[in-house]
Order: sequence, then structure tokens, then C-alpha cells
Amino acid sequence: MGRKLVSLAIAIGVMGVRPAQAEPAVFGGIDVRTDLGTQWMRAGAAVEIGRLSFDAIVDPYGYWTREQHDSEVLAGWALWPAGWSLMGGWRVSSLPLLGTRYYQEKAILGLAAPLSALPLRHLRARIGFEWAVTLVRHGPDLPTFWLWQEDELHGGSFNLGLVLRLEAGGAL
Amino acid sequence: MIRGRRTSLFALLLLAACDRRPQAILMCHNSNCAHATDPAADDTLASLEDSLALTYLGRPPIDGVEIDTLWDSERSLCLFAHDFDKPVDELAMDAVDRVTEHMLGAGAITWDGVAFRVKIESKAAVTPGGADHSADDLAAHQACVLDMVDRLLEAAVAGDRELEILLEGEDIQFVRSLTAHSRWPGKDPGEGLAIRLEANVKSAGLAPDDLVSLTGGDKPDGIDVLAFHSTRFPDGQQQAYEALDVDLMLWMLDASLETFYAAEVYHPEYVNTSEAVLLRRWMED
Amino acid sequence: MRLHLLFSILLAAAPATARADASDDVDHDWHTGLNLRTDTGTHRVRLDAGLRLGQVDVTAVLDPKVFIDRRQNDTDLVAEYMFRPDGWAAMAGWRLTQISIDRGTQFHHMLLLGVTGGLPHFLEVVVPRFGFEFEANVLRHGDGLEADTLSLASERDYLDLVSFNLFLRFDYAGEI
Repeated sequence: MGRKLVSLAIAIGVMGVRPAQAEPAVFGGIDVRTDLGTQWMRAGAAVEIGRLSFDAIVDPYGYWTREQHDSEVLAGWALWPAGWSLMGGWRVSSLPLLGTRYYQEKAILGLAAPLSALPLRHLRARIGFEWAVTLVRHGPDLPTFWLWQEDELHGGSFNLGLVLRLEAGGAL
Repeated sequence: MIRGRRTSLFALLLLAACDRRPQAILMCHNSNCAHATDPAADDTLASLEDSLALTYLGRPPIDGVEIDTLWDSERSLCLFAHDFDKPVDELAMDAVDRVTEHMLGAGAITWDGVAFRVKIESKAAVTPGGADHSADDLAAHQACVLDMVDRLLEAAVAGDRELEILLEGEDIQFVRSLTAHSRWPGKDPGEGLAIRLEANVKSAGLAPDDLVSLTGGDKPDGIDVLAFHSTRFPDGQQQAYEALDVDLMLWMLDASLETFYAAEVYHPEYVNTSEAVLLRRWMED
Repeated sequence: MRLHLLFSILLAAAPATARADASDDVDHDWHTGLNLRTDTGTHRVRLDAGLRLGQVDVTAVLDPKVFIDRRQNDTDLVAEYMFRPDGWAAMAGWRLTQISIDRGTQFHHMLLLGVTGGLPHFLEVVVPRFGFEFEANVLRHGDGLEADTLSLASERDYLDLVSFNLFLRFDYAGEI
């Protein structure tokens, strides 16, 4: 009886496991958020290889207007194919401050997931839920603060963010 | 500026649970804070009179008032107005006269019983088409603002009132140039009197050495206060300024929920609102 | 005992991965869970509870933080028209926020319009959804305060009173 149960369990487990997508895929699109952590719309590109994903997000509007601009790179690992991913990465925020630029270096941790299918085949929507911690603030002629040197954790030390990514692309 | 003590997790949790309402100097935005928000009534003598007469629990809910000035280049008039859309001409000096009358009256004129604040904001356009100040326009507008300052200082002395005047310009160089004027009385013109320069967090023309005056140091033409809005732009700048302990003024069109949140997070020195009783009751809760 | 444990673990793991592509096809009658948002107008973590009535899902969102912080209470009632079960939906609803002020309360009434979409499920019974909403603060009133309704007369009348928000729901769902 025991051997039968083992066999049955193994069979069910194997049936449930889908092979990871082997073909790399590339996507490009827009990154939209409504909290004030970055500009409300930025541009991003993503590469997926199996369960690994890499995102780079840039801020054309911020660069063009010389206002706050945020650029980041993220790496993700899908917990299961087409499922939730754990994400981690780095964001550099550049702010116009007192006539110079002030930089905030942020570590990002979060989750990402695909949304329901869109009508057009090469379009997809994803969401991201992130927690960004400002590790250091620095800039020319301005004080430098490391996270552990701040005597109180200001509103900007930790940022929660929700982001919607609308992208076009597909397998290479 | 950099301190070595680390915040404990316990303190963080306590802070999260406390959720204290901040106390700030309450300014009457565009001289219009006595009724439900109505931008059409901004910078009018009627709204100013209602705002100065406003009371809550028997005392003024405000600590100061904002007066906008507009130099009309075509008619050489220094107007009390937010923009050229105002249907009726009212002069900036008439607005100042209402304020000085208030300061010379009896009784409390602020909630906290300390200095009365008058913010004078000078608009950048001199024509309905948005033309910039010429050299003559600049001289005339500066003269108007300095006339207002002189009249307010005289009234403060005569009425034995403490007074703080905040000078802001859409063009930051306008307020800096006032400090170079021969009639400039200085940032500390007398006992209980102070003049501070204000800009916006997004103003062009700020410099790293403004940080000295923004955090309470002495710089004769330094900007002393920075104004910000709760939702207009990404919040990196106000977060950075708050971390640098800069004196901030939170301004708003309406007291939205995001405004209350910004007041709690950034602990601004000043709040500039058209809903004075609401904000006072929010702070006093 | 070890066999039973192994059997249970594998059986539990299978549905978690099998869910990956079938998230649009699972239906349920009720759901309850966490409503999360990062915008600053409402409390960031609230509880929601909803019922599925045909193609319409009605959800109430309640604010348990009011028991810790009595100063703000955000309550929503929203309806979603599901184009597919656990797929995209059109959303409309109402939010009432109460703000505690000295000697009274201020009330903010918000109209909500939006779109929601389904996310990959966890273990078949945790049904996350993501939402994008337009919020208009249409009425503000309170004890001893003048009522203020939303005006579209000029940008300065409405700019502070309208916003776009994103939210995330992690709900446990089941059938009646």
C-alpha cells in the first residue's frame, strides 16, 4: 500500500509541474504608477529566459524636463511558469535640489505577476508590487546620508509602490 | 547634520501607532479661507475681510494671510489679484490697508498668539499675454512690494504686534533682488519683526548655499522657506528637503485626503489653505 | 507517516503550479481578504468581502485600522461586471472617508470608476486581483462645515479632488 501511495504521489506531482518556457522573450512598453514614487509613466524593456526575467526602466519624461527621474534594473524569478515572480533590483533617483542634482540609491524588493490576457496576441499586462529602501542620499555640495545614519526614518526612506506594465513583444 | 544614533524597531512601531497630527502655522491661501473653496473669490477684498473676521471657538483660526500682487504693465497698476482674469480691479495697497486695520485692532489676531504672518506673492506676468517684467516693470513692482512691507512694519510697531512677512515670487530672482534694493529693511528689521524669503521646491534659481538659510542660518538673500504641493509632482524633492530639515510650506487648492497625509508625513512649518476652519479643527483633533 | 507527508506535500504542490494558465476559468461565489494600495488618500491595508451574483461581483471594503487610528475611516462599496470569470472587469463604486476633526467629523464622498483584472491564483483558493481606478471627490461636508461639491468650472476647482489609483486584492475565495 505504501509503495502504491508513493507512486501515486509522484505521478500527481509530476503532472502538476509544467516545463519552464525555454525560448527567450523580449518585451517593451510603459510603466505606469499612481503613487508619487516616480514619474507616473516611464518606459521599460524586459527579457525573459525560462523563469528568469530582467527589466530595465528608464524615465524619458524626467530626463527631458530635468525634473525627478528614476532609472532601475530588476531581476525576477518566477515561482511557477506564468505565475508570480520574486523581484529584486536597484533604482537611482535623480532630483533637482537647490540648483544641483541629488541622488537617492534605492534597493527594491517585490513581487510581479501577469494580468489576465489582453485581446491582442503580442500585448500583455503585468503588475508589480515593490518596496524600495533608500540606502544612501548624496549629491554635490549637499550632505550624504546612509540609511543607518539617519536619526529618524523619514517618509522617503521607505516607499511602497504598485505599478502596471503594458508591454508588446513575444518569443524571439 | 548627520547623527549616528540608530532608530530602534520598537521606536518605529511606536511611531507608527502614534499617528500624531502636526502643528503648523496656518496661512489663509490667496486671502480666501472663510468659506467652501471657490477660486473665483481668491484675492478679493471681500474674501480678505471675511477671512480676517473668521473665528473658531472665539479666536482666529488662522495665523496669517497671503496677498497676491500682480503688476499691470499697461496701466501701471499694482493689483491685488491672482491673475488677469479677475473682473474687478483692486489695488494691492488696499489689501494691505485691510490687514493693517486688522493688526491695529484689539484682541488676538492669530490662533497661537504669536507673530501674525503676511505672505506677499508676486506674480511673474505683467500682461494678460504673459509678458515678463521689463527693467521698468521690475522697478515699479519692487517699489509696490516694498511699500506694502513698509506699511505692514509700521502697523506692527504701532499695534505692538509681532509680524513675519514672507516674500515669494514666481521668479525667484524677483525676491532675491528685493534684498539688494536700497529700501530693503533687512530680514530682521526690528524687535518681533522678521522678513523671510520663500520659493517653491520646483523653483529655478535655488542654490546649494540656500540650505543655510533654509535650516535657520543667516544668508542675507537666502531662501528661507520652500513651498510644495502634496500631489502635483513625484515626491522625491519634498522627501529630500524633509530629510535635510528644511522649513517647508504645504499649499493646496482643496484640503484633500492626500493633503492631510502630506501634512502628517512632512511636518511642514506652514500650511497654506483655503479651508482655515477645517485645517485648524484637523490639527486640534 | 512519512509517506502520508510526502503524499500531502506533492498533492498540495501540484495545484499551485497547475493554476498557472487556468486562472481565467475558475469561478467562485464569495471572497474575502486584503485590499492593498500605495496611494496616500486611503489607508493602505483594508479588508474586503464580496459576493458573486452571476456576472456581477459586489465587494465591500472595510477599514479595520479605524480601531487603531480613529482619525480616518475609509469604506468602499464597488460592483464589478466580469467579462470573464476572474478575468477583466469594469468597476464602479462609492467610497466614504470619515476624517476626525475637533468636535466632529468631516465626510468625503468619492465616485469610483475603474477596471480590474485577474492575477495568478495561489493554491486555487487565493484569488488576487489588480485594479486601476479613477476617483472623484464629489462631496465634502461635516459638522459645522460648509458643504463643498465638485466643480468643473476651472482646473483650480477640481485638480486636487480627482485622482487615479492602483490597488491589489488578495482574497480567499470559495463556493457557497
